[in-house]
Amino acid sequence: MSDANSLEVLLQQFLENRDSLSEEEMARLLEALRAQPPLAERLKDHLMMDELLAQQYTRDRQDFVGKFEQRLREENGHSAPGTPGNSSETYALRSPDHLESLSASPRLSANGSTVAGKPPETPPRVEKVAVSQPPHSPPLGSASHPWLTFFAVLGGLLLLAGGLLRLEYTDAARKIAQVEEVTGMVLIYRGEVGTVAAAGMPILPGDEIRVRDESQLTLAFRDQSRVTIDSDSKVVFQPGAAHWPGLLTSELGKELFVFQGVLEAEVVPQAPGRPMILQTPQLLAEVLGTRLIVAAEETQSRVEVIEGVVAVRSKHQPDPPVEIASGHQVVATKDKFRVSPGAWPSKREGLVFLLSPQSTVSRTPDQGVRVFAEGANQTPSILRPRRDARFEQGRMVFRGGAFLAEDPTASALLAACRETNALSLEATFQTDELSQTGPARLLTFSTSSHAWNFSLTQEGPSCVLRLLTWVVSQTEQSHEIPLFEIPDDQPHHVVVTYAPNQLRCYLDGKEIAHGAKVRGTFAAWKPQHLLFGDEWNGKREWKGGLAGVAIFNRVLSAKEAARNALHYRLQFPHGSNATETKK
Amino acid sequence: MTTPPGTRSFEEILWQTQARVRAYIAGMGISPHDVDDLAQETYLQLYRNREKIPDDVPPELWVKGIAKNVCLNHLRKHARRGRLHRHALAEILTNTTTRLERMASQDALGAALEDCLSKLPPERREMLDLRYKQELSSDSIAEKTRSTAEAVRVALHRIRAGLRDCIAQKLAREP
Repeated sequence: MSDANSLEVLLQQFLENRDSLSEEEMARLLEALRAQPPLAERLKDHLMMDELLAQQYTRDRQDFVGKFEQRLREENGHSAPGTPGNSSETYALRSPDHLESLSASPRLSANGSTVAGKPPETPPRVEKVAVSQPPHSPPLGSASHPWLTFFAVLGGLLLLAGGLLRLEYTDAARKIAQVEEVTGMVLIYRGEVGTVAAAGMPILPGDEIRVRDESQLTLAFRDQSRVTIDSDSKVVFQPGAAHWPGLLTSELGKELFVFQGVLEAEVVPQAPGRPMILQTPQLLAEVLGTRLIVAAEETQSRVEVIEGVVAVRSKHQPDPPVEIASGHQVVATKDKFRVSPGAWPSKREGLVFLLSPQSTVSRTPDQGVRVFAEGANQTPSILRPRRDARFEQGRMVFRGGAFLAEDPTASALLAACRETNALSLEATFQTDELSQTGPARLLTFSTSSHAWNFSLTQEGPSCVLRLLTWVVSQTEQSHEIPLFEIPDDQPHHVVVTYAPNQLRCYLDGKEIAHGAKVRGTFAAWKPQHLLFGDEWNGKREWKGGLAGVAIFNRVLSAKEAARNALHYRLQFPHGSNATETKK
Repeated sequence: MTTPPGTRSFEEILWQTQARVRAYIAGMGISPHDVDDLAQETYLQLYRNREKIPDDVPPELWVKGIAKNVCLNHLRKHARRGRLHRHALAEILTNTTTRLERMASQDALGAALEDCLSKLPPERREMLDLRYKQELSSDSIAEKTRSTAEAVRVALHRIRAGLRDCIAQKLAREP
């Protein structure tokens, strides 16, 4: 057997049983690991993978937090439930949020461990233990002779000042920003020379940044402002505008020209009179501290303000700048400059179903009533009413009926979500009664009360999500997760977004619940019906109004959920102007 | 009823880091049956000193710092055989940073693993089931599958390597 082969055997034996190697074999393995860093990397990767798989599969490794809680109680000699203790400090190691505590339904908890209703804990003793912390620096100025200290400090300061004066004209001093994160292929051109971007690289005045297909670049400025440039973009840091020489008090200006593509900026408050300036061929935006998106094409540009106010002016018209408030956008061409609410939904990527208030309604003698929503890849998705369900002023109104999506929509939804194992539900709902039970179905992807992939429901005043997932070690898991208490019978915007280990819920643009405990993929999902307002076989009817329904096969970020809530409210303040055709 | 200072952040740190910290401990060559005990010891130390968690250090880095000390102490005190070798191995592995480890700091790790597992062919899933769910040795798996222990070890090695690559690809595509 060759050395390499026998080493491989040693490695695999060690992976199987950490105590299986003899002293001599361990010594050989160590020698090889020291001499071959890639071998050490491979071993470490396998050890970590081995552990991750054990966490995933081995049943008694899955409730680590529960076991830790038990140990914490034992360590602290915790009194039995009901025993008076120090109640001024309560502590129970439950998940860090409202959702986890609510999701601990014993009936449907993922691994059978009941986590709700734990008694308050007494505080653990605070003990002094050795924790790896950086040692304290010795106090400054501890030299024994005061004059010696004085001259040493003075000399040091003079050297420092001299060094800084020289540094002022170096690349380090001229640096406007630096690369924080790169995904894919990004090139930075300085003069004629292009360099592949990497984290930590400085950006200087005059640099041209080209972000290629399926790539992204995040830059961090000295003042912690951040700019993210998306794929297929070309951005130039304007030369001459970024640097005013003069000791270290000089402020570095920021002037970017977006020739093409999309740029998102998160700008901290800027010094008065020194805004960040973002230009496109069609417009110029002055930013004093806000979040915004700039998108530029050859003939048209757009600035969308996410937070704060931005002054924008056209480059082709003499009009003064217009202040654009959050949730609004300006679209500029050579001839036009139009301000409007931001688009809803703000990103269409991963959209598999969309019912806009502007959806078309058709009533014909042969087909009856049909609502034309939008399916995956902008294909039409037809909804048909069942019993007493109507589409009025851009929203579905339920008084004991449902809308059913035709089969192609349901099939596309199933395929899309199974492909990504992610789901986001967005809707604006208005319940007629806070006491509805069933649970009553707002929207559901199901065939009966016992066969569902997901359902968004109302049970009394609670909004509850049902979700079916598949976990390797335990096959199918049916989760029933209370999300929030419905505040009142007014319209509310909700987003529920899920990918394994990350479930989040946003109400009216604000995060209301999140948790990492619900896990699993959609491998167990089966063909079902997509309905709004009731179950496929009836008897779970919901009474209220539902509008602006969007379903995605991806996770929506907190920012996106907030933007969608705001844009929807601004776009459709009074329901809508749905188009109706009659034949 | 009040919540002690630092409690909420401790809970968040625990929930968000425990899977990766346990993997980090295993990555030091610690025996699987000791990993959870040492992870618990790590979080106990973190909990007792939760007021000292600095704001300017990523919590996971802080926890791993504690875990490293806890594990090296454990190896010094408890490793029955080859004590010095195991300690040396842990130090080599601690000073080695792998691609998976760098990516494993992303929250999407669990999701990526689940996704990659769901795409494995049935016979590979069966192999993982025997090894990790039923906790069988390679000898026992070989008996069940009419193979040899060495072939089983090689197969498991390949499955883990394939999963690692699959996870790395998925995480590299994460926004």
